[in-house]
Amino acid sequence: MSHRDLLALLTVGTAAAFIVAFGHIVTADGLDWLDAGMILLHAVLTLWLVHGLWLAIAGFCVVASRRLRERFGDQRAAEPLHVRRQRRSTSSARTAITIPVYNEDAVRVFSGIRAMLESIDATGHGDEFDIFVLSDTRDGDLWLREEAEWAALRAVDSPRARLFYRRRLRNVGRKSGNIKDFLERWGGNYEYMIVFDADSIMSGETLVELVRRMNDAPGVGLIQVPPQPTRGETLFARLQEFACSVYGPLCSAGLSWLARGDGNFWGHNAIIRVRAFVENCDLPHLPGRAPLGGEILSHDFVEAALMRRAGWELRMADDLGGSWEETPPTIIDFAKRDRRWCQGNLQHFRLLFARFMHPSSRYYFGTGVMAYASSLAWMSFLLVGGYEIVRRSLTEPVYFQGDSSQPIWPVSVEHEAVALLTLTLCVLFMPKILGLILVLIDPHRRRAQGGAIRVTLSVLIESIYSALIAPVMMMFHASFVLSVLIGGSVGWGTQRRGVGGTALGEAIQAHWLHTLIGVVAGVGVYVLAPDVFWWTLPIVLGLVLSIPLTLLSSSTRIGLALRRAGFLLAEEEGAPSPVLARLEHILRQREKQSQEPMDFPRAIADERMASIHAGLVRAYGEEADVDPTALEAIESKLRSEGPGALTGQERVTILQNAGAFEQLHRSWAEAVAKMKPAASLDPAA
Amino acid sequence: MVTKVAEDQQGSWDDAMDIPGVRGKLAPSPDDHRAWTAWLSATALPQVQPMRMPQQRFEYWRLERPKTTGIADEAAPEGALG
Repeated sequence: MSHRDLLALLTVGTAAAFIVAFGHIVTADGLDWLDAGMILLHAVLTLWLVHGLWLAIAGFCVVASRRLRERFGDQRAAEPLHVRRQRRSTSSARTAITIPVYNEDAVRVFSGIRAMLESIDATGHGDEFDIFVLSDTRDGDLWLREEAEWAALRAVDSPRARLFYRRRLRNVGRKSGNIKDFLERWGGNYEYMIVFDADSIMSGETLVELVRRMNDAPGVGLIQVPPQPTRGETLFARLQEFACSVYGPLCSAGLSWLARGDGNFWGHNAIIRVRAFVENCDLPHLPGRAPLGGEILSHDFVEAALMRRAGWELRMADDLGGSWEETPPTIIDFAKRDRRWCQGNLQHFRLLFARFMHPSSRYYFGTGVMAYASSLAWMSFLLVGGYEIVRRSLTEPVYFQGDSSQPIWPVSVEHEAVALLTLTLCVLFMPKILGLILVLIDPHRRRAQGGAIRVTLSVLIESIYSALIAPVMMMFHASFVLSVLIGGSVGWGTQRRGVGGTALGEAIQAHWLHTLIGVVAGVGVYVLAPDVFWWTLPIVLGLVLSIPLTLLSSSTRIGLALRRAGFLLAEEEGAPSPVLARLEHILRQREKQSQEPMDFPRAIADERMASIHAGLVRAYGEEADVDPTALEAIESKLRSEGPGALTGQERVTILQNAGAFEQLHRSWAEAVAKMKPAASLDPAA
Repeated sequence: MVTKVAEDQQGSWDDAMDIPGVRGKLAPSPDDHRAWTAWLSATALPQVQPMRMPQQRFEYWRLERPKTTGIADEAAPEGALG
């Protein structure tokens, strides 16, 4: 029996027991359409929940047995990465690390690259990796900042030219189009590419080990390394980091156990065989218009499915570590990201029934859809349940029917209901308990995460928080699903990273409806069915408190105070990885330097920066034409009002043509020389 | 301009592995800013090694319209087959 069949059997078997018990409870006084609807919704939710439980149990068994082997002398399992590296295959395969960026913080992006380059060099395999920063940035000042950071890092990394930069003229196809452009130009130089997000970071050892694994398995098209969130400072980000650190390994190991060679792609922190990708992963547009048609937004799952369809094996390296990403700092930022992901995942529903897909790909498409659709099912379940409560409270019980003088007493199923609720809570919290057990039995992780007492209390804090926030996320997700279904579409936004702090107005705007629904539902249940009130309290409380919860969890002060006190620590924080420590050091140094960021006025006045920019535009070979009349008007404005007066659009127009930029650079230098012969060209002067 | 990718330009996987096009061009000192920026421009990107990504297609299961005799089709009033 395959792992997939085993998981299906366990899930369906366990869920069936829950569904039968629930059916017994709701049909105690007879079956009507409302009861049937509730049973159906309960069945969907239970299957989803129980599936997660068994996946976590599988992951627990995998990780626990790995730890036992390490502890009791299985040398292969215990072999650290640097020893495995020495056994590395001698293939001279070249690998490109591709980092697509779109209006990102250039200092953070290039500081991460610097830390990573040093980490790769420390392995002795530096010459096997090239890094490409693939910019789709539309903002002129941010574009110049990327170029300035690139040139500065090139100066540090001189004389080896292994860090490349290009900015696309037209950002066709978003991120997947960006990668396609890279592959069609330079893909032939490389056997593998490791795809990053702008905030990804990986250790040199992990990168080298990934190449080794690909060299050893020519049939493998992709290896995904689950990224752990890092560098979070707000309470929300720290809760996310802690949750991923404690429960994440279970999920990753469970998925890895399930997938074997039928894994998935999460869009970044994965090594890909260039040939497998090039031959199979140019995505078509889905028929029809957005949101469910058009460009495929969540491209990663589809790319994985296409590679699997072509027979390539896809693996997950949940044992590696050394792979990180950053998480949105606040609930609202998290929800905004989810809005994009929701639309992308719902598009996958159309691929669920496409021909020639591997069953594992259909499974990933299905779970991707359910990640959001389950919220709509939960909300519908609560609405139907609420209606039932109202109906019962407004209906007088009928004790006598027909001519019978024998009373018909209402059947009490309270004990069964309490038992079922308790079991459901066990299913909900079991993955957290299993994750905690894995930390407690591992001395290294236990110490790194603050010790047994602190980590247990941290699990308690995280559990309370996630229980309170769950109904809020349910409302968000349900509204996203409905919005997509009625035709609402999203643009391509930049994810806010790092900086926390949610303003009161923003919190009210995001949560006023949640609060109102919570208050109305709470008061309604208390008045109409006070005996049910306490059962619904966790849901009602989460909604009522959504505004203060968002404000509280966006606080950097509370997040950092808890970290200093040893709570909500991720494993890396207790035992920092050198590459992360180096990144923090570089960023601290940059803060101390408090260098003015590069922008258009500085670049147009700086001969060196002007040469760098024009050189980069020419090196890429794509330039936009500039209308001579428009150029004349912009030049005139520049000379009379200064570079700071040019609009964002005017700046980009000039920046996209190397000749025009050089012309304006010379023109501005002349203008400054005439105005103030002895002055510097600094626009601030 | 952008290099147009033709079928016959596609490099073989075996011989394409060591052609980034910029190795060996040693960097001048960043203090010599003209030479430095010229070197930066010359090495900003590696040599193009073009490839073509063939666009994929998805096929769906379709409910085939049941086969009927031509006579029945012709006899049926418009819209009768749904």
